Amino acid sequence: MKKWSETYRAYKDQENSSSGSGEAAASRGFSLPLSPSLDDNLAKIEQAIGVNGDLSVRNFLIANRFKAALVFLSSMTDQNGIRENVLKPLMQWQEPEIKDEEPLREHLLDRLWNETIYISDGQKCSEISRVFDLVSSGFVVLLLDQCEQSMAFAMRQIEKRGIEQPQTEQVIRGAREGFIELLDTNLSLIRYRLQTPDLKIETGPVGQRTQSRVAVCYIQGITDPELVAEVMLRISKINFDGIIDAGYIEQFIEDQPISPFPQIQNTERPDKTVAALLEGRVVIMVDGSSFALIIPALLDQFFQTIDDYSERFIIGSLVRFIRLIALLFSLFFPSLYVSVISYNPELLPTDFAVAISGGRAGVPFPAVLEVFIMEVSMEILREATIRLPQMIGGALSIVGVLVIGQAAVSAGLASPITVVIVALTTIGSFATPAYNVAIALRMLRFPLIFLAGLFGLYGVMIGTVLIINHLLYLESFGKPYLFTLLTGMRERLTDTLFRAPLWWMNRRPSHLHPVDATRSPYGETQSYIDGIFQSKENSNEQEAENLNDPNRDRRR
Amino acid sequence: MNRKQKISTTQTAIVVASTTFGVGVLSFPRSMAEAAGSGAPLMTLCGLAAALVPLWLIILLGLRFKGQSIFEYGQLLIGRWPAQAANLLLFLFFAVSSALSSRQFGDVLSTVVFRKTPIEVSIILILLTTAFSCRRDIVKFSFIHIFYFPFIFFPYLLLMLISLKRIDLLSLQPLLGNAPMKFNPGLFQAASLFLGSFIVTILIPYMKKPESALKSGTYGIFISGGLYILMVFSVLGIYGSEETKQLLYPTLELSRSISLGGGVLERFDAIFIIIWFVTVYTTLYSSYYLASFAFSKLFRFADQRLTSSFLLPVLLGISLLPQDVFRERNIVQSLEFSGLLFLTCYPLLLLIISLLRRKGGVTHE
Amino acid sequence: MNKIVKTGLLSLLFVCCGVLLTGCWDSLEIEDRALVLGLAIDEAPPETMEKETNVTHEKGKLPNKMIRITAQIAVPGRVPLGPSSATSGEGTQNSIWVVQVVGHSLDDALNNLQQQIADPRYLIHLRVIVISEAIAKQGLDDLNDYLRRNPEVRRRTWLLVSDGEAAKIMDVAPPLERVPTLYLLSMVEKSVKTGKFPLDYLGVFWTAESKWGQDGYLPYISIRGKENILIKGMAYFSEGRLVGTTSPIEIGGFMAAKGMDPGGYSVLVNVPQMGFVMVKTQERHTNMKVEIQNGIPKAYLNIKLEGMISEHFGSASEIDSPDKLDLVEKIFAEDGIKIVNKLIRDTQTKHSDILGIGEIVRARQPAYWNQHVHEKRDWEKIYSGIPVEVRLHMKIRRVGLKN
Repeated sequence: MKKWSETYRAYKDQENSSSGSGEAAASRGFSLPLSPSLDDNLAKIEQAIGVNGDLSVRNFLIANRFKAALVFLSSMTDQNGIRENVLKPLMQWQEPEIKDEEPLREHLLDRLWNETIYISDGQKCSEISRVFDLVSSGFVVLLLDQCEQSMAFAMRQIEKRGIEQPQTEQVIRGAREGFIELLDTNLSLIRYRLQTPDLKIETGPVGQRTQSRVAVCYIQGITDPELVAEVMLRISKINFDGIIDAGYIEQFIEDQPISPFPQIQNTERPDKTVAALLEGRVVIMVDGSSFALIIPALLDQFFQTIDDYSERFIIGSLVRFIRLIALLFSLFFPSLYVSVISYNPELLPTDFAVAISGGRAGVPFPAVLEVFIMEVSMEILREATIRLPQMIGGALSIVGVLVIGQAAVSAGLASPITVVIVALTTIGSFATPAYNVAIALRMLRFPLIFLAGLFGLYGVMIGTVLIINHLLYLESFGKPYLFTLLTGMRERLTDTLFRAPLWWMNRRPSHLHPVDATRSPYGETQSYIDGIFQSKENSNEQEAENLNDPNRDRRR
Repeated sequence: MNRKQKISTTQTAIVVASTTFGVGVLSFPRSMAEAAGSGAPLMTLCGLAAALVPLWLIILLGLRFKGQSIFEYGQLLIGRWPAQAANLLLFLFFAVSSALSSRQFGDVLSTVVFRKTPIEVSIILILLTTAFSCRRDIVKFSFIHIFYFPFIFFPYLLLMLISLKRIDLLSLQPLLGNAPMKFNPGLFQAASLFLGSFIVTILIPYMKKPESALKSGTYGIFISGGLYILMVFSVLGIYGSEETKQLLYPTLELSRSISLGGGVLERFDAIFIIIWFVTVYTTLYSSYYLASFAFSKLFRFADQRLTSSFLLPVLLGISLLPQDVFRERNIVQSLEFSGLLFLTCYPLLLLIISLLRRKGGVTHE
Repeated sequence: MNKIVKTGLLSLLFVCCGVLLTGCWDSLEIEDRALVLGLAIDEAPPETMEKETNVTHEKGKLPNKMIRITAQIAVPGRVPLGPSSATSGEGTQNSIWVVQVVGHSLDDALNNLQQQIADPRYLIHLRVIVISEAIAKQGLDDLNDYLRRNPEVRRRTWLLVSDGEAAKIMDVAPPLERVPTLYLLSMVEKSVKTGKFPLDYLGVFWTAESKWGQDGYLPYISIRGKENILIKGMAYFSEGRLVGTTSPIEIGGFMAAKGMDPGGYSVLVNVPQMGFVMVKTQERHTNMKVEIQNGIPKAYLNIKLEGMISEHFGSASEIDSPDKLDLVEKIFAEDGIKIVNKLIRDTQTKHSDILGIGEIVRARQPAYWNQHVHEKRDWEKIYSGIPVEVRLHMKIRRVGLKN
């Protein structure tokens, strides 16, 4: 694995000179060659890593005379495989003794690799530091006495959980697979959905101590090379000791850290990832994290789910509309309520106003405080139920509902209307598919409540204008965050508030500057219905001509 | 990485439209009715036509000097110091007009909604909101206009549509008005509604196709002018010219008298004021932006980030100067008149000089 | 990084200042406002001046005129939230609080009222104002001035003229509605919906009064029995003063003359040989034209009505042929013209152009108008002298289920 700065440089080189010398000389900072003595090497390794309880060194003889040792971390390797595919063949390998053993000794490693070992992936290495790296990342290293090279076999095996339905992004209609923590498994989940050689995956370690493998995936020929280069540049600049999760990467590479809104989308779903790749986005995955990062991410993306696309377009559009309403609910309802109650009661119908003032008559707090207290307690309840085990969670929610709902009203702490408002707000905020955006909006409603308490509707409007201006100012990897709502007329019509039929969406989002802008090869609408409506006579004629052609277009 | 973002023709038109559709919305049907009686829509139309002249002049200049705004090519044409003096005047005009816009806004708020809140607070709030957003570049500037445009345009259109069935066509006749039209204040007042269109001078350098600036500027004026005319039409159609003259804010009154859902929801004035806030905000934003842009050019700052914050207390001070509503109205009128005069004559002068001295690029490149 | 921290701290400071320095000046919870739902304005005898508390002025140098206002203020907590608990008469009585004060002007009286109650009074939900006939005869301009200036007052408030003491209307508590004022309101609004009265909010009245070629009119109500309110007719104005009232049927005539839908009035006509027929108007179309003849405008009213027969009695002769229908239509038209003509004659003698003929003259004959009319009074004078020709045509389309 190369470092990210190198990968970036290599990518840039490749981009600059089309006949790029892809493998730039991987010159490392220091290179201490392996010593010819096996014992020396082993001593060094044990000195460096050996304090760990899981380092195994297996000494044995090859062909009864060549001293050899296998070095590996027992916790990360496939023990069975080592036994069956490495140790057994190596020990059973018979080579008659010949007089001049030197040539044999020199080519022993190659011969072993070529003749005996049943491992698909392996590499030679001749530096001791490289051996450390390889061992710690789960390779099995074969060291030979009087040989300055070693052989490393990829025999990593890590306990993993099975592929399950992603908990954070459940869908009605869509795949039930979610990413797991292993990068290779995740890549395979993407690969089998996207079987094209154009899918490029660049991997490299990030994090001085964790050396986490970070993979950048994109489709060559679709994704804007500048975007890929920018992603790589930003990753290469990460200088941190450990990358525990994809979220770490996100925070290092996002455009505007002091913004409540996420500028990078994360997903647990391979199908969503593949769809993003096909649109011309870049995906980052990190070993050990079950989330993929999608770059760039605009605001409207966070309100789309796989369901929208797999379900028919009318349903998809309607559902999107509902989501928009829910978003407005969760953001504005409490503050509007406050400003109507304490600033503009004339907006209410008269009989309702009289009744509301009756409902509020016993409440000791002003509306701002009342709503604020109720909203905060609702947030506490929400946060508490997330962390609790499921058995207790149910009980807690019952208590919470009783306390926040019925009891608060009876005790005169809140008016019934407030409870309705708080409930609508909370429900509305859960209708936003993306957790991070939902939470951003949920938190933003608190300043809005305050502004409503201070200046009524005017305050709410000022808060809204500030939020919107912030959104207009935001960028995700150079793409305006609200692009689709602003300038992209086509995107606005086909994939924001409405979800147009798939066969209309035959162009990729233009703000991604895709190399290949169209989704269908001829850039024309392609649906069964279009075939009917286009021109019946034409298709009939053609059919008449080509009736005997076995390869004729069978679209009808 | 940053691909250079540019402003398209439609976007320019929208910026012009949302800039010119502004503070005047509330009260100008009254001034039109005072000037022309039932001929008010016609008077507005005349004003619209008159407003196209300064706009075209400034766009023609912008096309001759691509990549520059009037603050730069002015110096090229008439020398540094005279041009700096003119720039100072431009700066003063936009600074004072944004200050007065915010004052008018504060007045409405204090009269209708916040009768106990000090007017300073309302003014500071809108000025702060504007000053915050003035720290952006031109492209983001246009984004803000584009985003808010539907929220300005459609509510007003909706208001017109709801009130359409109550329009009495008799109130709009005779088309020329009963008393002879008073072109003197009327035409100037109508034309000065559109003075904000001067903003194109800083937009042209950022346009994708600068040559279509003329088209987009004209469309922009037509959009906002159309809305203005529609508004005069419905206000006058419902109230008649005599009643309109009695109302301080006829358009606000219109929103107070509509109802939805068979009388269940009424009293939309609070909501209307909120929408009007956005309208004022976009207008104020343009003039504030122009003022801080002019100021930064005047003193050769790199950009307007610093000046926008610096201008805030100044504008607040100016906005608090007028003593009462009537004096304020007089000040606004004389400012608009002189602004109209200056914004027509100065570009005209520049254009003539550039034609005579053959400066400025040949437009066909 | 440092910059971010600084920006953060600065904005925090800003927010704190905002929260601590501002004072929610205009914030007032809905239950802390005394919502005035209805107002009744009566004349008060001058001797009440002695009783008046001097809130806005010292004694002396004030007009002798005194008014008495009766305000209905909603009592929060008495009207329950939700539809469930239908309250009895007792609850209705308590849901509002009726306060009576006197003052020299409307605002003066309202200030006196404020002096007597704790919660700040708000007119934001003022829906109905009832004035007594005596007040209306003195002129409404003074009242309107306050109502126009105050942004709390809706343009959709109803202004009603009561034939007796207006304060009594405030005491009427019909069992249909929890809040008495709202009953009054829904009564007037429903009469608009059923075609019993033209849409005539305060704003509409003001607009009509402002127009030079038109005069305003208001609903004229009266108390019948203990708890019933009757729409007795229209009260019409000239020069801002009430000058006359009409009978209820003349409201129908007025609506016909203006072509206002929906049609709600039925006319009982006595058709020869066929007894009495009740004809219900359903649709009205009117064409109003003005021509200048011999130097004065002449108005033509061409009224086209559509209706149905809703009752027929007093004769065995069935209405069963087109000819008979034609006869009913003819008789109806004669009666209708009489009603409309009487209305126009009455208003002409009182100089009150509630039909807005002057507006037509202004719009269609600007030359005449500009020459003769220089203020509103001019047209009111001309109006009483102009000839008006009324044509009425009734078309009966249906006769109901009975053949």
